[in-house]
Amino acid sequence: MRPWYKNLDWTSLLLWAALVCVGLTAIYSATHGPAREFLLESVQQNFNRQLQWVGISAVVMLTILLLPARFVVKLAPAAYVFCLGLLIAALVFGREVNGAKSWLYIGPVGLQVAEIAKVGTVLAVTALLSRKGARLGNLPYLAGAVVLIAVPAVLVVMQNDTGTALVFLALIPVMMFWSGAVSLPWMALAGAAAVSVYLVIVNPIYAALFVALATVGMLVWTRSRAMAALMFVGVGLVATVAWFGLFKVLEPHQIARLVAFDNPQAYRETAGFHVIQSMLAIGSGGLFGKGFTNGTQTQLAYIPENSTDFIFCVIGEEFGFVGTMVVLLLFAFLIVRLASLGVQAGFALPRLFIAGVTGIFLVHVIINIGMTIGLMPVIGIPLPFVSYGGSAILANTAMLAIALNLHARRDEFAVYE
Amino acid sequence: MPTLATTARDDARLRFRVFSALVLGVVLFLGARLAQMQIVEREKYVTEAEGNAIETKIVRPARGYIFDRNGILMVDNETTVSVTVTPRYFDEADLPLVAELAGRAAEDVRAKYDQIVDRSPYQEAVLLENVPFWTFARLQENQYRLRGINFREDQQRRYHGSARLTHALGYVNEINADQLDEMREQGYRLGDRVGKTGIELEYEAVLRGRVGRQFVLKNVHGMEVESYEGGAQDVAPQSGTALTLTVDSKVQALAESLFVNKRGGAVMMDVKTGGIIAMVSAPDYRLSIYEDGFTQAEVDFLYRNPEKPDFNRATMAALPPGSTWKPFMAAVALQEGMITPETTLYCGGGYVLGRLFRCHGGVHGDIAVRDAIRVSCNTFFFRLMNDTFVNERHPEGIRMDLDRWGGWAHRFGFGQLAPIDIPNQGPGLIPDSSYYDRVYPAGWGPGYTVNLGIGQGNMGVSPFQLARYTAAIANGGSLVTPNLVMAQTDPATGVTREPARPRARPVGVEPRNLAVVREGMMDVVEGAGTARRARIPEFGDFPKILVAGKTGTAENPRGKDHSVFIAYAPADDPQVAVGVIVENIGYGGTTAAPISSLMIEQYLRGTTTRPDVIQFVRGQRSVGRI
Repeated sequence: MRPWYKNLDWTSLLLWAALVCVGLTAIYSATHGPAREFLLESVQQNFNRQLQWVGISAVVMLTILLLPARFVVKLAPAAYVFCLGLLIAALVFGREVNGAKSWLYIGPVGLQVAEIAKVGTVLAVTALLSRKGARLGNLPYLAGAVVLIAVPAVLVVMQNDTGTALVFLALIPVMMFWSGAVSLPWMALAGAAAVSVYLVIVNPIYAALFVALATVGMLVWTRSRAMAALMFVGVGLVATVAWFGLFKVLEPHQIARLVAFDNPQAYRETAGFHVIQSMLAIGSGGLFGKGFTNGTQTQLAYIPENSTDFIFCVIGEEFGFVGTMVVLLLFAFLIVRLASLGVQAGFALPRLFIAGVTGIFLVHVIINIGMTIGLMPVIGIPLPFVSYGGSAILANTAMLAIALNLHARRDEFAVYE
Repeated sequence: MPTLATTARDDARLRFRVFSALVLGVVLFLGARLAQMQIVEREKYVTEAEGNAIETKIVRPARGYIFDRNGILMVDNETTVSVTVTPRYFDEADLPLVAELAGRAAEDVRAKYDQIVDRSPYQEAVLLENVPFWTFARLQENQYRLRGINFREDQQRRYHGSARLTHALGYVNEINADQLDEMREQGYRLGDRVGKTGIELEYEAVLRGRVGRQFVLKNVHGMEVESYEGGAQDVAPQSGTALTLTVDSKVQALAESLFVNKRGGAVMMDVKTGGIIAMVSAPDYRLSIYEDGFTQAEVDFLYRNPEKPDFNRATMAALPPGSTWKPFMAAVALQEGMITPETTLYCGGGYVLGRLFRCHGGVHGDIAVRDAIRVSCNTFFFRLMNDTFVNERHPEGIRMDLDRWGGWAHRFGFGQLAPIDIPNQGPGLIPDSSYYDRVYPAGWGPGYTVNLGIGQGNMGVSPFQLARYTAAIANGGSLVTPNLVMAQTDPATGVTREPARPRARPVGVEPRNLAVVREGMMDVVEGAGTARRARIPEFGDFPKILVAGKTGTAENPRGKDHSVFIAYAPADDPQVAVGVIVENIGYGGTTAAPISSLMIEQYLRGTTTRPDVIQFVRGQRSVGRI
């Protein structure tokens, strides 16, 4: 049996470090460049505070890596309850920031509890689904997993932080997919339904074409007329309902935030403003960017929240296509690498936990980068490891550390299997 | 349905591959969009992002100075200072202090400040416009404790010396909407001041200079943050070209003083170059009234005054020349061969054509052309206008019909506009047969046109045209191209250049014929003629200046006659020519002649020696309201 530290995946750690460095660079530019004088004093501190949080996260990571795998597994129920407690506490004692009651202050330190809650939730769902019964496609297990995810999601919605709640809900298909409890054609149906809703917003004609293509694809793949019919009827119905809901039933101002990304000019003065400015920043960056702290959009305050949710604009504007692709590829490598570690670990628990973690990272990357380039609605969630935000970097690092711990100590799992 | 994976491990491998494909798809999807935005459509985004952040500010250059022919400064610029405030940086509690330092009422300053804040708290805006220097000095001393207070400099025209030169210089004022539409491409912006009339208008393109550009970055609030690329792209303004006028400001000032209480105009011209030495139109006004905006009294004066002070009588008047027309008739008759210098015509005290056209001064008897000019015999010139002459050159007979008369008038520059830079000219009136057909539809005959022979009736000339015509007589037959600007000097390099002008045009009268006319005109002043008041006698070390001229008294059916005089001097070596019309004041010899004489003396001697004549001229006034 190899000692755990020889099994440790240094590639993932390097990717983590690279993303953290990119983030610190971008945060520095956003808060210490010429833009500094227009920022609130609290925002000017973002770089220094992020630096402290990175230090704390590194300590936490080291601590987690040193813990025995068994401890991590045993911790799951307690961690889940603790996280629920945090969420409830935030609802009761929390402070409202930007209309969302998601901050809990412990002394001078503010925590965005929804970020922390992700760790506990993924742990708990993983622990549940890695039991033998679940792998046989046992419905109660699956229903239990959905409940485990839905409870914190509802609490987060009650905090008025819908964006983060969506990330929780995204865990459901991710875990279904990796648990092996749902066959791939059925996963494809669910995925097609999601894509069709997205396409309805972009252009209903695309959605119709997609449904037709997906139906044919399903028939060719599974050779099952029933699945193809389900694809056509089911996904078609979802798309139609989405189309009715978005464009016929709801008033334009109600769906503005959701659909503005597709045609920001039409919402120029309201929901589209951030999208336009953000796209101008990234587009004008060109191939190599305008240079560190030289972005006019970034430094002249045209982009709000550019050290947190819109950090990708800073990278796009000041480091250009090269910078954005580097970040995108770092994430892709990290996510695929982690997933491969999960498969390599050979046991359900590490694989499922890592599945949850990669799923969360992937959803964050798609939505966060997508919203800055007009491909996704503006949902205020951070870019993992890059955006400013202590709770987020702490939670994401902790999840990464747990994943690496489970992978490094995979041999110990034979005990439980 | 066959299972896709047989073991859990294989299933996990498969799902990993699907998941990896999904991640790859996401990377391709987002990467394609990024490539489209950052590489393919970069230009579009750059343009818009720059439009967002980069503001082009126009830096106005100093307008060109204007000097007289002797290098005396007539017009330059003065800096005006406005106090600006940027509310975001400004502490409202300082408002009373600002008001106190500026010596303004606190409520007024507060009201203005509130307006500015309403518009935008981030943009610098003018709080106190055109403050006096001491206000600027006091505020500047205290600027260190008045955060957000700043100063903006602007320039306006400042006029020097006692010569006003109102109409020739013209005025500068804020650009209006119509001009802005036309001139926006040349970089004009709202609030710019442009030449509206006179030289300021004619030479706007060179006087203005090259506009500078400053690129600054502004933030989302519209606030200027810093210069773009450290000012590397900025273009410094270039001051406007300085103009040296042909005008002699001393002659101009004297002429203006002589026109006090009068209505009319005078032009003095260099007979060789056509340079305008003086151009007076009375009544006039000080151009400085355009400084600092108008008061109601000033608006009333400029636009409601029946005397029309804005009307340039020197160039736009169309009044009959009276007897100053006679040298023209004499020159044309000699050239056409109707008469010789010795031909005598009989004056019996008048000319009968349907009715009696009187000659003044009684019966002149047989009179030749020189004397006819000297005594201003009307009969002689009526005959030239209407009789048919038969002589050796014209055995068939020749008669001055209307078309022949008009053709010659045009050759002498009447009835048309002179080329180049003389602002707001009027063509005057040289009638032709179609004109008479129009005015007298019932029919007309020689009785209607014979008056034209003595410069009366349906014709009009300006003092400017008279001066040019006189110059042509004096210089031996060249119709010079008049000009107001002698040289243009680039203030940065000091390089001076003289603008190219069309060459003088021969009027088509031989010098020997003009010499005869000149002899007659010299007798008008120096002999027993009608303009002895125009003589310039010797004085101390100054030798006598011989003056040649011709008086005119234009009959005015609606009021007192206009006093007209043309002159050139020195008669033996002509250098300058003058044309003067003073409206509603009487004989040409009484008013216009001494004015011309004094202007000539001032120009040739650099001073005047006859205070009594000056006194006499100033004491006269045009009849009617001034």
